[in-house]
This record gives sequence, structure tokens and C-alpha cells, in this order.
Amino acid sequence: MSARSALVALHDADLLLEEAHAPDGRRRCRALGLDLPGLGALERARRQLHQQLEPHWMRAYERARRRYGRAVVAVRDRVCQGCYMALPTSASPGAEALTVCESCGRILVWH
Amino acid sequence: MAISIGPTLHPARFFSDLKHRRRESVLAELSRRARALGVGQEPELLQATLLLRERLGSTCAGHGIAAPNARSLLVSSPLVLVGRSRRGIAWSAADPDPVHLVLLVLSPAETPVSTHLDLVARTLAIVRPARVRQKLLEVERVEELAGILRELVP
Repeated sequence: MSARSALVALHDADLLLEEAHAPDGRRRCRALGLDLPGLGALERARRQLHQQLEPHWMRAYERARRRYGRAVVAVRDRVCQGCYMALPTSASPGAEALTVCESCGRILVWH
Repeated sequence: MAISIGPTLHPARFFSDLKHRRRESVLAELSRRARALGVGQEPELLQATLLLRERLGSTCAGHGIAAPNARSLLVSSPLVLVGRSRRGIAWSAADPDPVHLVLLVLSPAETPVSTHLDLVARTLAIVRPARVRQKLLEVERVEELAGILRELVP
């Protein structure tokens, strides 16, 4: 798995964990007939994804997550979807490259 | 703020004959469909997110219905896809009965948890009544399938 794919999967795993830990997330899921018994399994999967990251991406991810809640955001129309600042034309990597928003520090995913 | 479910009920979002009989393959198929509709990116990664959700707990809601769902960085707008399998899908070891209706519910990453769960709840509520499920399993054409659901949405 590429660093980019691991970051996207880690980000989505954190969204699932947020849902499981939300004050009424578990209760609401159970009411829908969708119980969440696999919290431990998801946390293990998250650890595995985390370990696939190079140390500098791991640090960037955790730093942005602590600061904003979500560490990775999409770029749409050359705008960072975290801080909504327009990105310079020089910031246009290939599909597999990873960059950090110079304005807010979130990791950017270009589709 | 609640997401309106009405705009999601377009015939292009109904698949009356899912090809696969295993959960992993069905999630891959629906992820590809989401990309074809311009809402989901990178279907292999989206499938991986949906499989992570299944690790948290099976999304089989009983009565032959499954509601795989996730908020994801790979999703640009809320989406509900409805897939039907007359033969049935083996969803998980914990759910011995086959699944015949799959409701894939996707929301963008920035969607609050409560808003996403509202969309899942409202989607499931539409198909829970036995008479609705029966109708959905019996109709022949995808336009009828869409029509039935549209009638049920205020």
C-alpha cells in the first residue's frame, strides 16, 4: 500500500472510530440493528495502517489531527478543503504524491 | 443539518441484479458504481474503508437488508445506492441469512456523525416494512424499483 493510500485509509479509520466513540453513536447504531462489537479489531487495523507510514508523515498526521480533528483533506478546484485557501499553481503534484497545505498544515489528497 | 434523501432516489442509483454473492465483491462492485456516478473516488480504497466498517460490526440489519456505510475522504457528496440480489449474498458469519437488499450510504468526510447516521436511519426506515421489501424484491424493471422508493419519500 502506498503512503497516500495508507493515509487515506488511516483517516477513514479514524472517522469510524469517531463514530464508535461519539456520545450517542453506538446507541444509535444499535437501535438500527448495526451493533459495533469490533472496536478492538478496528483499533488494531488502525495501528497497522499507522505503522505503514514513514515517521515524518506519521508526525504530520498526528500533529494535524491533534490540532484540527481531521488531519487529511481533499483538494477540490485547487482549494484546500480544510482551511479553504486557494493553493498556488506550483502545488500540483501527481496523483500519488503527498503534500501539506502551507496555510494550515493539513495533509492534502489530490484526486 | 439533515441530508435530503429525495435527490438520491434516481434510477441510475439502483442496481436490480447484483452480480456477486460475497460481501467483499458486492462492496467492490458498488464502490465502482459510486465512481461511475462521479461521487466516489478510487473504488479500491473506498471498498477498503467499507471493509473497515464491517470490522467494526456487520452492517447487516436483519430481514435480508444490509446497510454498508461510511464517511470518507473519497466521497464528494452524500450518496445512497440500492442494490438487489435475488439469489442472496452471504454477508458475514454472524448473519446466517442471505442479504437481498444492499443500501450503500456514503457521506463526505466533513459530515457530522449524527447527520450521517440520520441518513442511514432514514434509508433503512424506508425499506424496513415487510410489504416494501417484498415489492422491491418482486419488481422487474429498475424504474419501478426507483418509483416505489420515491413514493415512500416525503
